[in-house]
Amino acid sequence: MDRLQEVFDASYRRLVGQLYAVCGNLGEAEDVVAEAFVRAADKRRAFEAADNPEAWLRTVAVNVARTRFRRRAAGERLGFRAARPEASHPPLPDDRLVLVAAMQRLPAGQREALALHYLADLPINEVAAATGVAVGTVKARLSRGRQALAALLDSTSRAMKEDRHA
Amino acid sequence: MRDLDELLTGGVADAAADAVDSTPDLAALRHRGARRRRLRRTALAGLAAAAVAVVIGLAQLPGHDRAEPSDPGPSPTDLPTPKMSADEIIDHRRAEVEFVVVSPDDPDIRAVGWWLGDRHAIAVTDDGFESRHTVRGRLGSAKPLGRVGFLIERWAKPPQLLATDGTLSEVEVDRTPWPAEPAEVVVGIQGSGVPYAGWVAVDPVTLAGHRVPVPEDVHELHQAADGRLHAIVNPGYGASPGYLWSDDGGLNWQRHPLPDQLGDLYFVVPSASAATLAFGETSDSYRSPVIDALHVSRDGGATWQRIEPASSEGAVPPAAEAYQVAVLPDGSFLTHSTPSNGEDAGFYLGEDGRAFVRVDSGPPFDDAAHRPDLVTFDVRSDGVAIYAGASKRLYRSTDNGVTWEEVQTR
Repeated sequence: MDRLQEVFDASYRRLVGQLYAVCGNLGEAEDVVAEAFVRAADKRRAFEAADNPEAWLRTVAVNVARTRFRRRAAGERLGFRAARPEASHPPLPDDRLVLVAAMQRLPAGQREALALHYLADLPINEVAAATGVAVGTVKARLSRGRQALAALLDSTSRAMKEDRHA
Repeated sequence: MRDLDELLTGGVADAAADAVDSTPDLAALRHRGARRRRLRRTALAGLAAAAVAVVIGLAQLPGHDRAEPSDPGPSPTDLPTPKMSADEIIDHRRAEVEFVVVSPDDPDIRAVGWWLGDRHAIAVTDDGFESRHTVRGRLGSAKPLGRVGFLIERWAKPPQLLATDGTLSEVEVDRTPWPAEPAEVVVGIQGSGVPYAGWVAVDPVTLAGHRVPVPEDVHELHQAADGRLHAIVNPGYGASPGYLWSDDGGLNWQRHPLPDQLGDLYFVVPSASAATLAFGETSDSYRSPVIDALHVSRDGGATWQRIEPASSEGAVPPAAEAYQVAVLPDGSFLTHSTPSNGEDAGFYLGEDGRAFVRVDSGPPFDDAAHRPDLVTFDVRSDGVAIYAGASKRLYRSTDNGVTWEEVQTR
């Protein structure tokens, strides 16, 4: 069995789980992880030279997700509404789904840092490696992202309560 | 709405991984990759042909596309597995250092957090890793507790004590707050609010803990070697932003107000000088969080000077890393700078009103290509020890970055 197959067997589902935290959409997470494996097959030497193949794939997948997000945002600014994929989610409690949805409203850097560190349980320096920024940047994004997320969740929670009262 | 920290640790990624119905056909993914490679080569060959044909003519071009030689990959046994023991994780050739904590009483007493994929383990020693104990788990945010071991902060729970014999136990905490003694070690309880639910002081002799009176909404708290507490309330938390300090273990706090400008971030600059109070200013942005300014008081907080980065005299070095700065016993600053050009990267020393000067670091940090990827300033009353990781090795400098010695980490 070659290395790509080994890594695929060992890491595919885990990577999808981690990228779901970033993308907020299970189907899209599967797409970007699949794309990362395509790129591993395309750039075989770079992949095989990677010290940590799973981290290499994660970095590629995060970059793919980021590029898709930016393209979609640019498309929406230009009025192309059809670019957003249909959302699919794992069976999670409502509050987790609200959390994942709230995270999609954060700036990309904060969302990636929060998702990879808290939801995917990666250490800060691995988040830094996956997102291509310094460790201090990740710390700052986590700090600011938590503040923003708390505010978003509070407003969401208030809206839900008001809906219930109504 | 449930508590933010509880939500953030709710196994979202695991649930998503478990929800994957079927994995794609790797052969099809390979095929797509191989096709892209062929297309790229064809395009490159076409460009080369167009250039070369001008000189030598089409008849001399190579006639076929050679197959790329296959490099042998590492053994499949190198890949991490879910049930790896702490020793297997720590000794794995791909494992990397995540966190290092060193006892203030003896640098041979240290704990090193390792990670391998999503697996974490801690190696702890009291003899500089002549011998060691290991445990699965994440070191995360931790502080040394004298010669006893290390206190590990946790979400919504009292800290754990990792003793030097490798045992883990939860610290019993008296919920009644009273001031921390200088010999006690103050750690946070994360969660149940942003960003800390409370602060606990632990006695290194009795191992008992108690709550410490710390104002609400403190984002960061640093305990200096003399016991003084320094804290930051960042803008956006509801409370008035400020830099706070207490000389009596939290009983009374003094406050230097900060502008309530959302997007600004402030951080404590650990100080080895009792006469110097300092904090740093950065901002949340896509660029690396560099020090936008240093704020320093030499008169107990009565007056403050703001040192801004620029190329002029007295400036903070460009791209000095936020959170990687300390005040030395003589009141000067030590920073770590990583400008994108790489040429000026390194450690810098600076004083108020004078230009920061780059430290002429010896091996292994004597060339721009060899930059540390993990830098920790261990600030004591008698100086600052720098721990810097590079290429999975850890080095220590006790002369402000001039000379370095390797430190064992496992």
